[in-house]
Amino acid sequence: MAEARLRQELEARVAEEERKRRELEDRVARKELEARALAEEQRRKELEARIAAEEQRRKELEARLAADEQQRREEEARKEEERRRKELEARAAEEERKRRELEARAAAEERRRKDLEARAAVEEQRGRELEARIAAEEKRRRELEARLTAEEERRREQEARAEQERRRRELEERATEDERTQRVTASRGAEEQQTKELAARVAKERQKPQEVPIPVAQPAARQPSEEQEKIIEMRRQIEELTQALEQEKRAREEITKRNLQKAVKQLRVALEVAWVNGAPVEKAADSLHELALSLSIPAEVEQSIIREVKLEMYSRAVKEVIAKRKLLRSSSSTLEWLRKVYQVSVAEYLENESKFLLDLVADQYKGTILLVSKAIGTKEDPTPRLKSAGYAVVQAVTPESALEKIEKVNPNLILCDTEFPDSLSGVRFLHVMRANSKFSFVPFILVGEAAEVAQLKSSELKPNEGAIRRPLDYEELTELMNEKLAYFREYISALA
Amino acid sequence: MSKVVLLVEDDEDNRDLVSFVLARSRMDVELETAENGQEAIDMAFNRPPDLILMDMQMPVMDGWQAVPILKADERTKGIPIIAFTAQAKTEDKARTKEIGCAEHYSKPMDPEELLTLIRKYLNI
Repeated sequence: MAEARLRQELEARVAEEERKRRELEDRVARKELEARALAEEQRRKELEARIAAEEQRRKELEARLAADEQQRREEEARKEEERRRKELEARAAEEERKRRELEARAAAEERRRKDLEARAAVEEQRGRELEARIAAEEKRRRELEARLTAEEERRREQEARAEQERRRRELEERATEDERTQRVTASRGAEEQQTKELAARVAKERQKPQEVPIPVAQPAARQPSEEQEKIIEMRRQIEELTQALEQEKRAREEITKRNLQKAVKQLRVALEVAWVNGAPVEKAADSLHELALSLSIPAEVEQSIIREVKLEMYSRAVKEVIAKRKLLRSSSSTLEWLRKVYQVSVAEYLENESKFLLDLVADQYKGTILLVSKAIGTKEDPTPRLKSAGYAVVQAVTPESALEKIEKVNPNLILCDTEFPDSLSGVRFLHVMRANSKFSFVPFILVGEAAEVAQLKSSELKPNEGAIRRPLDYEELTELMNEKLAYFREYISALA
Repeated sequence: MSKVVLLVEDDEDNRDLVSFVLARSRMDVELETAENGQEAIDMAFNRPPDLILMDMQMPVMDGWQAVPILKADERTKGIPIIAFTAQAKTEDKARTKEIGCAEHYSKPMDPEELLTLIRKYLNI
């Protein structure tokens, strides 16, 4: 029994021991767990801290990237602005260049025309002189011929006289013979009378030749040298005559040339009539060609006259129709139609475009405005309105940048705000311009508030200067610009 | 025989322009001009043209009055009339058809277009 109880007690103690051991094990295990959990927690916190740091660094990086990006964009915008500015400047310069070129071309054209006119006048004068010389030459030739005829006449007379002399001597000889015979035959009375009569006749005959310039006494001695002289003289005259004839030949050629000019003129007039309203119909063109043939105008000359007349008539039609362009839907399609009507090829058109469009451009291009305004790029920017009114516009956002550009732009008018933040004022800019000899007479219009404008108008403005209030009334602005530009033009033409 | 076109237009520049264009059309056309509806009626009754180009806004008698008179008369009712108006208003366009115009043309002009229209009604 007791043994059983002891065993029970022992078992209970063992169980107790066992329980205690388990408890201990449990506690150890729990503590271990707790420690691990703590370590875990610690690591988590560290990780979180690292993540946070990481996040912070990422944000910083992002911010730096964004800043970089911003800077890059600003840089690009600046570059773009610069590029645009340069482009505008280039375009303005180009326009100015074109305008100058057109003006120069017009001036050259005018010069050439005047030159041609002068040359034509000289040609005409020379033609007249030649005709006069030919007439004089002809007169001299006739005179010479008349003199030659007279000379011939005199020569014949001399021969006739020599013949008479010869006969007289024969007669004298015969008379002497007769006398001898009479003396011998002693039949004197009537014979002597005869001799006396003969002597009287001879004396008479003798007297007569002495009246002529060539003395009969020494005809054989003097006549040959005189003849020689005459021959030399005649040779000289013949030479002169030959020269005169050559000159005449040249003059004739000149006249032929002038006749060709006359023929060309005649054909030109006929062509102008035919081309007034465009290319003539086939029949008319044929008859014009026949006219050219009948005037013996060479084919290449004919072609070049046709081309000239065609372009001239086309150019006139262009001018006429452009004057009425307000009534037309489209100037360009009308010009295209006219090009076909006058059978002007595209190549011909392009070749002469400047001539055709000179008036058009002169009429439409009103000049370059240097616009100095804070409103550039905003809704109030007047650029589009100015452009559509026919002006080229160069923009500047401050008077400083306007000053940089003005030499290059050479504006016909300056339109400038009165006030600029952080920059020269418009009025100050106006004063700078007044002091500049090159630009002091360029129209200068200030744009400002009503009060400022009233003050400006009442005070210090010169004839080329004006002021207008904001917001811009474009009708008023146009009127003001026209007035100032007209003043400027008058001033310039007075200088010229 | 050349065809006769009667242009009724009060504005001299416009008359000159139509004349300029027609002269360069190579069409065998004789252009007569009247400055208002009354003049046009007198001329058309006297010598009926082959085609009438009629501006609708005119002093003395405008196109709106003149066209019905022309369309009511035996001598002129068969003549095609092309109505010119300054504004391209759709109601105007419809109205010109109503009063008997064959065609409506709104200014500003285009030479080639105008000539095509005239050719169409002159059959040349």
